[in-house]
Amino acid sequence: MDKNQKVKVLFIDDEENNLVAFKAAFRFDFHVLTASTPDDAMEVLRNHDDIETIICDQRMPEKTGVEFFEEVSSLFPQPVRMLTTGYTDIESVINAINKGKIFRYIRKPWNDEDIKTAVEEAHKFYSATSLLSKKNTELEEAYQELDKFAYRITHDLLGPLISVKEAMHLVGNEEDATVRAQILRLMEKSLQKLEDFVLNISHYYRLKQGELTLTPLDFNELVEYYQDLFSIESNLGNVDFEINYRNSDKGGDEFRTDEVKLKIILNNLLINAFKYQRDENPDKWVKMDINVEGGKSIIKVSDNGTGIPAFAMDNIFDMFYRATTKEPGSGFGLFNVKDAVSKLNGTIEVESEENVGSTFTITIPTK
Amino acid sequence: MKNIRFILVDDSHIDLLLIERMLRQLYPENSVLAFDDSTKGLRYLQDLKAADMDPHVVLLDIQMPILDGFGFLDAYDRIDDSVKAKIKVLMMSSSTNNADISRAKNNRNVRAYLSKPITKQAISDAVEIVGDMK
Repeated sequence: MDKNQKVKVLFIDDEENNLVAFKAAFRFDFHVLTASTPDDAMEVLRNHDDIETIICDQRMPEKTGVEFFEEVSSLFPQPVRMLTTGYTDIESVINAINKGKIFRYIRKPWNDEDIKTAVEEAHKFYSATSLLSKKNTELEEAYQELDKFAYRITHDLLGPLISVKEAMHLVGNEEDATVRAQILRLMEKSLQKLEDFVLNISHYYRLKQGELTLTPLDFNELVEYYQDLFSIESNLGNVDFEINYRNSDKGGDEFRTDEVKLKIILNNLLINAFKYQRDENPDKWVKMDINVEGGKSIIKVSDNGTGIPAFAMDNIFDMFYRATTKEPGSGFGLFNVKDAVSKLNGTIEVESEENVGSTFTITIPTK
Repeated sequence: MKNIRFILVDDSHIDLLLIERMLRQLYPENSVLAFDDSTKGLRYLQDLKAADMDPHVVLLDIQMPILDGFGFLDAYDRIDDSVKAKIKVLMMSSSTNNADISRAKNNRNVRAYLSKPITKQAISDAVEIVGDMK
């Protein structure tokens, strides 16, 4: 039993003397609450949702202990129920077990040690059942999340598949080459969306289950990796891409983190920065500033693209949330980013203005 | 029939193209207006005036970002009855979720539900049902 927190026990008896005696005997062992009538007892139960054990006398003028427990078990199912009585009629014992669903039957006059043992056992039983019901609630929530997940996945996978299949028929019968090219371009976009979606789901699961794999991070290598990775995007989209790296901890301790998770974050932020550009802007740019200082790396990914509309700012990190139809997206990217940042004990901040651009700042401590 | 305007509201560009082409083939003389942003489609309908409008048939997708099909219908419901009298809404989706489908079918402003992939036959059947508009 937890020594710091006494178990709450509610004792019910119509004889005032018994209440006083019970309190005197157990006030050092338990947190004792008492009531002299079933109605008072109900009131106590309503005001204390953490009562673990109820001990009630069988013979009371208003109703029997069994009748009282019958009511209690539907209104307050959690506490463990015990019955005391001076009479040993077998009928009331059977009723108590069948109707009142009692845990223990205690004969009067009670023996202090018996009560202590009974309450300790009740405590174990109570803890196990409340743990079980907590697990059950968690399971139910997980199931509901899975349900929502399955619903969205079905839609987001099925939608583009159906459309692309239909478009294939269309493109086969289309004689105009320009229209054919247009349909093919849209088909490619749909397939790209599918690919992104599946990739993001795999990231999601990797984040959800994966333990952290910590290794020293070579920032120079990281810079080179991203210069390479986005060089095509940069050239094709005519977007200037610049990475700045500054390390004030050079010569100090190495920076340790989970590289895969960091890359999930940076990939998503950079993909978005390149994706949400304004076509009409002649001077498009994406910038990544990496600053390592005092065992922390602060990475800013900024662009001068479309920005995020103000109404969407509160929701951008939510699963499946999308703020635009202009570009295909899974509604998963920033959700994964947020998840990965928290797995790395980091923080993320965003500043954005529509038609001006966005800056995402992540701060990650070394592990 | 000739004066009916078709309004498409769907965030999927490929679906817009597919359905628009079917409509143009089925009803070459009617005008088709496509919105990939449901808020703009809604705004268009909200700006209509009963006195000088043609009858409209709206084909509305369910799953869309920012404002989904059901949110669209909630806002649509508040449009003046005289305007709504000249608009028929058809809902469409690739959803296999029964709750979605029955929610669409039971909405008082929805005349028919079409499941994707949409066929020309399904469009012409649905338009025939709602097409007896003045």
